Amino acid sequence: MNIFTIPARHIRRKWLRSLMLAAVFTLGLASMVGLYQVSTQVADNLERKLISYGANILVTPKRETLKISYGGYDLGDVAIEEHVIDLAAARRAIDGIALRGNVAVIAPRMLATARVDGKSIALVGVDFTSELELKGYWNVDGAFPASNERGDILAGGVAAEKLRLRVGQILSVNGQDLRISGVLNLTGNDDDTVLFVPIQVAQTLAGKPGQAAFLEVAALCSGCPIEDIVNQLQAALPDADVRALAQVAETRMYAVHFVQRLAFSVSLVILVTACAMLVMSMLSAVAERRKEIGIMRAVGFSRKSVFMVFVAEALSLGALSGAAGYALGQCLAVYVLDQLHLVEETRFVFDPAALGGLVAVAALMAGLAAAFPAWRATMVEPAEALVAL
Amino acid sequence: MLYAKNISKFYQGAENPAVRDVTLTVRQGDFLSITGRSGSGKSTLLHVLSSLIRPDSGSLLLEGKDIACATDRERTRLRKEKFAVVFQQHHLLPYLSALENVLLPFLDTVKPVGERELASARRMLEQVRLAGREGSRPGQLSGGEQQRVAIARALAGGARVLFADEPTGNLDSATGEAIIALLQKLNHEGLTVVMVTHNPEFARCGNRAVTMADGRLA
Repeated sequence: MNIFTIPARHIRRKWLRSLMLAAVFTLGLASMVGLYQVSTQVADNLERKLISYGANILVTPKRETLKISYGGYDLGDVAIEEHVIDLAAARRAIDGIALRGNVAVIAPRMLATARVDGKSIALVGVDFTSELELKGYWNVDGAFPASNERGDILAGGVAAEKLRLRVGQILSVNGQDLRISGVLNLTGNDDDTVLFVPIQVAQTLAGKPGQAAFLEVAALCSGCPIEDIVNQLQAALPDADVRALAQVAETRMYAVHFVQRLAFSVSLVILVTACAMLVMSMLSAVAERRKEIGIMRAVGFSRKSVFMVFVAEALSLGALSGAAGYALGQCLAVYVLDQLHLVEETRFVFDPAALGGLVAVAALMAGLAAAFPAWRATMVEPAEALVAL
Repeated sequence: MLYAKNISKFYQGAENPAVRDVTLTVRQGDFLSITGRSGSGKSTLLHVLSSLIRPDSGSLLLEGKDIACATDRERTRLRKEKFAVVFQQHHLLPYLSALENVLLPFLDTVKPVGERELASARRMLEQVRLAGREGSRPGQLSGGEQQRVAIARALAGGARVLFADEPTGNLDSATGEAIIALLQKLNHEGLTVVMVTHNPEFARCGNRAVTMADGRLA
């Protein structure tokens, strides 16, 4: 038996009241946990969906240039060596970075030119599987190329019009027969003026088998800053320049962060309301328990001890609510995500550290909320409290 | 032992002081009864003497040291170590057992109650003839038993002076007599008792009695 016996016995005796108070706090915390889980999983899902609107990291080979000037005349920079990216080595290097889990798509590109019906046209060699993940906004007449091996072509809208290309047409590109599987609807960007071919075709035409001119990378940034991913990629690919497409990343993260900020704001309001209810409840408890406080003071309890009795009670209820709120919040999140079909796959996430953290934070918040009422309790004069009753 | 000199106490909003210029000595081993009509100031005087409240003027010497102006911490220590108070309404915590109520003065720290305190509390319950009722809650005890628990609690801390404010006020006469007999027994064992009562018969049980009227000693 010690000072904690008093709040423990009081909670047990006033179990219904304590339960109601803990329930209010639990609901607040459960809403917070649930909203956090929902927002995290929705934001995660949203970010994965946003990948289909393009990459946010560009990996290009390093270029070595020489500045030429003579006799006061500046002749500009001349590229003396142009590197390409060894695709297999680059993939291995990227697979080795610590944040590999955040790299969602790697889309290699090889550029080549070819003559079609006597006209020069730019060919962009792509891996159609990863390309389609990045270009969710593409609409096509005909069909997307079924595989990289078959040698299908996807023609840009403007290029198809100029070359009078039709779906199903066989095109001879530098002596190789390729079939037009689809024509892109106008996108308003560079995709309109080129022909997309399997990367192997472009590599052969460019005389650079197994190489890529550049890579577009789509990274998930909700868990860490994009700069961390860029730095790790740069370290893994020392012969390449890795840079974030800042505007794309910011625009994308704005949407993700908006969801998270909204959830955070709502959670904060709920938590403040729960804390306010706790303060009100403790204040009314102090008023109701004036006689008890008077008894404690009369038998020699210091102001500090009375303060501890009230704060300990709040801490216990807070810790209890923290544990219950975590469990309930997780269930709530799974239920909401399941019912609203917000994500493809709902999952119950148990994180012991998060549980411990929430219990500690809830206890602390309850303790802080009870601090003022508890301080009021210490101001009770024993004689006044006892004689008045 | 305790010497009150020219003690006065005013309550805010009251026309007259509750206690006016009272000088009184409590000697070691005394059983001092304070009697008087309702509103005569006897309870206020008891609260001042037991350091539950501060006097507005005058001095209160305990073993030569003036405790009238003691800090809250010093007064708390006095109530814990030297003085004990028993009220008319026994004021037990309803959610603690009889034993826990007796141990209440020791439950003010995180340090668990020691064997010595536990033994002392059990002994006190035995002394007030409540052995075997340690686990009973106040609601399961009669009024007289509750008052005896309150007395046991007052004495468990080793207080040297017991201040009793109308300890028989809420009890039937037989139970009241039993409580007075208990106080007399404790007084014979060396405890100094200062008791406020409006019952003249009980007032005569002590070795000294003073009467108050209009805040003064009559």
